[in-house]
Amino acid sequence: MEQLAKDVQPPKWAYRIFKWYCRSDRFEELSGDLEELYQIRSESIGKLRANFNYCWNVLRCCKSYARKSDNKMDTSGALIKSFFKLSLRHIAKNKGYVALNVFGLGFALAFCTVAYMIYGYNREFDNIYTGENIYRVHAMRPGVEGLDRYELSPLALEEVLADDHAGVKHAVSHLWARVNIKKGKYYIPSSISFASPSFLKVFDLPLKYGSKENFSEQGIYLTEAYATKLFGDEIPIGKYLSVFFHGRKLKDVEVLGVFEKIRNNSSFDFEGLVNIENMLNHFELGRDDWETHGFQFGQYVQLTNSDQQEPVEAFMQQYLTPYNDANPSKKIERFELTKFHDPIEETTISYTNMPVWIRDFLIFCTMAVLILIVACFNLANTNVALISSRVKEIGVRKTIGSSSRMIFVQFIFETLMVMILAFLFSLSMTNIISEEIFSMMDLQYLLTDLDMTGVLIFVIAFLLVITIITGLVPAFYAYKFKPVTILNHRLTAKGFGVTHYALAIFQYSLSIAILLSGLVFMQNADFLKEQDYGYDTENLMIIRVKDGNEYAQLKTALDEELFTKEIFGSYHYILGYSDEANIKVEELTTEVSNYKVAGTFLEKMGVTFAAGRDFRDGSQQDVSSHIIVNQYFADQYFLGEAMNKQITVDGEVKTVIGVINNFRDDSMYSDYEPTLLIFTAVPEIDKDYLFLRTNGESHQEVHRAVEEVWADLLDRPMNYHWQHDYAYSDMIYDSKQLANIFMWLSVVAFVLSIVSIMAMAALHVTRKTKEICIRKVLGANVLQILSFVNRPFMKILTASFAFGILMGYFLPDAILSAVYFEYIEISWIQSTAIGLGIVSFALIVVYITVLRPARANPAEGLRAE
Amino acid sequence: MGNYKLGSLEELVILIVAMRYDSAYSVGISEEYKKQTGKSINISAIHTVLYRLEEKGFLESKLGEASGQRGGKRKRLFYITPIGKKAIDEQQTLREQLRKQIPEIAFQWNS
Repeated sequence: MEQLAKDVQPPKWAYRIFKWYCRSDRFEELSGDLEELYQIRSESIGKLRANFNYCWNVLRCCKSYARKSDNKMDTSGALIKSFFKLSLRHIAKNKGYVALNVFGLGFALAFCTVAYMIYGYNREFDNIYTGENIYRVHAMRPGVEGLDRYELSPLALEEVLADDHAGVKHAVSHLWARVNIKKGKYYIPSSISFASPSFLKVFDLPLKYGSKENFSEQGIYLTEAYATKLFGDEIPIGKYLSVFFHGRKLKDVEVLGVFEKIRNNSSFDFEGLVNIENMLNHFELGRDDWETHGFQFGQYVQLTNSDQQEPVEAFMQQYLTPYNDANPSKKIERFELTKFHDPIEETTISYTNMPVWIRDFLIFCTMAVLILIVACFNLANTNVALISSRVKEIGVRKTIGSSSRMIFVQFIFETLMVMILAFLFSLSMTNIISEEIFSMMDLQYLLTDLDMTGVLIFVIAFLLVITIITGLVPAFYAYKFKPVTILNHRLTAKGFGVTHYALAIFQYSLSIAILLSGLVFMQNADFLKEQDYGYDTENLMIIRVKDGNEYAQLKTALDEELFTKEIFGSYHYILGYSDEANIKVEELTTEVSNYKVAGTFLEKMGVTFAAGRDFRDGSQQDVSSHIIVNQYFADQYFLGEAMNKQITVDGEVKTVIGVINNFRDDSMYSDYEPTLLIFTAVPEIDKDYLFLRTNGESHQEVHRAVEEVWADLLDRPMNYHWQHDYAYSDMIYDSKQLANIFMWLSVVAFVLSIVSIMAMAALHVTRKTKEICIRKVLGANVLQILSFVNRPFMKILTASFAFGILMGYFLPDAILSAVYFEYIEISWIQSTAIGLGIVSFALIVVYITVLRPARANPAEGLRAE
Repeated sequence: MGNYKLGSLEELVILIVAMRYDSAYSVGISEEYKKQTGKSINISAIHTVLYRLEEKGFLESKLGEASGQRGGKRKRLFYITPIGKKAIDEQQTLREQLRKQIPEIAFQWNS
């Protein structure tokens, strides 16, 4: 055939594509048509456009009339279709097992996704602020071990940084506070950030309504969620709100704008943003004040470029002296700048929102991974077990020409289908679980708040990896089958292989370990709840009052209430703020925490005395010259004999009249070491807190009644807490919630294991039908049959029992010791008993499964074979 | 009436094939189409219609002689079949029938 003239050749690659695509019997005429058109076009519209036109025509001609009927695409399409059909058939035939695997894997996937969310929460922390060269100002203060890092600095630093250093573009002061916002007659507890107007320039939060111009002293910006909470669907711009801070009313603020949704994982987790001037003016604090006055101001700077970090750091050091002079008890060694977007060190002491510490979720994440492993093993196990009933199918397929690779791919495909179903199931679970987990930290964080590319990559990679891992075992198992062996019935007689044993033992021992761990974590939650703090925290409501008069007024009103068991007052309360006192014992001087208490406060708090007595109500002498110390103090300074010894407290000489036993004044996470504590008495008028001990009525009821009494007497929000919740902190609550989750996990693991062993037993029996029948015919009784059939299960369960008990002992112990300082001791007896219980239960299940075929008429069984 | 359903493009293509007896191939048909209707049409659309009509039995085809014009590649020439003729005839009769039944008054807009 002639070729076209060289200068009128259409693009070769397009020609080749068409040649590849087009069926051979029509290629000549079709390509001829295209080339003729090309010739006509190149003469009329030029070569370049003709080329383009040719390519376009090639694309248009790739239609059904030109397609090869024996195209490779067809084969692979048909193959995938057949894989899909086979998988569906497999699922339909084994609904029970598949449903169980979907359930188990779905749970495991959901837990792992939540674990990923926790990781993502930290990874994307502060991502919403896109500004560059932002730094946190950290004050380095000498601590017990080297320097402690505080994200706190004096207010005056903002002005000198912004005004006196050219490298600083903006400086921002920030103070996070819990306030009450008054709406109508209600006080709504809210979290507010007080910040300099430059905050809006440095941290570029997008506004939904309003404008960022003119952030005046009496302005407030609200978050979208909070604006809806306060005003519903109304646009709140221009509305006024009253803010109560520490019970005092600040100047009313006007809503200037509403931010678009701010995710929880950011340093500034506020509901409203108020100009810091409002609060400074109210407390009469100057901008040039180096003293912190107990406020936790944080400073943030935006530099002109990153090279300025060192010069600015050096510049700040000259202000150490004024700061240290103004705050003699909180001296710092140097100021440091830390990049705002760098991960925050866990030891940093900050009053802004912080990332969550992975340590808190160690237990959760470990359990998530364990349950995933169990679910995967279960899938692999049931698949391997189910293959034995499909060997004939595989044999026939191999005989009629299916390659081993095709069989392999098909089994992987089946696993993938189960994984996809599990993924769909997990989608519904993820939100429920994540809500539970994040609500422990008072956070509202959804999967959709995360960067979706990351989530997608995670889910797809996760699904693929799990599919390959779990699919490989059964796929290889099927891959190796020789059709002749199968069709000769030789393979069916084979019992458990080594892989099968190993898989089953591992899965079962892991389930025992998980169940034991779940129980231990639950017991630990109870154990923490029962921990003695050294004083009575139960049913104690603490209400903040202004002075002794207000205290007396409220006491009179509350005394009439039925729930009141006892009311007393004090200046400080245990676990609350205390004063720092300079004391002198003989020639030794030091600083200790001084709790100022009124009258018989200690006794009423349930603190026990090792020696001496408590202060007396209204005793002037106690106020002026007596002191109570704790046992630790007595041991440190007086070798245990502290009674009647002299101590100089802030220049006044006082005599020890009592020694109390040490009590815990921190949380359970840390190693508790008693601290030096002294107690001095204050006059009756100096009562800042009212303590209401109830008879055990529900907290909500009491709170409602007290609030009513309060509202009748006073026109400001009531500030209160329950000492028990406070002392035990959220940790107990968290620990209880965690324990519930573990119980769930344990149950899932247990159900999965029981069902998988049932599946194994049933399949094992099917395989052994012929043997059982022959044995019966030859005279074996049911018991002998049972013991023979159950032998492999006995082996599996005994081995799992041993491994499970060991893991169930060391695993929770290792996790708990990493998280809590004090935790429950795990008893061997309990572990063994529970392990035995689980194993016996499994054995019973196996026996029941095996019993029916063992008792069946052998003639029936043999006929079927 | 038999079951000879034709689309309007199909009808036009059959007519052109019949008109260009012994020289009806896709490129020629597409050019004729443009000439007659004033509208251009992609070659792929002509191919689709031609192969479909051949499948239905309205057209038949054979490969022509090789010439130097298109890289030596042969053209597929299409011819109308008796069924094809019947189909266009029926289409024609139906149209004429309908046209005749329109009352004169339907075209008098001025009164």
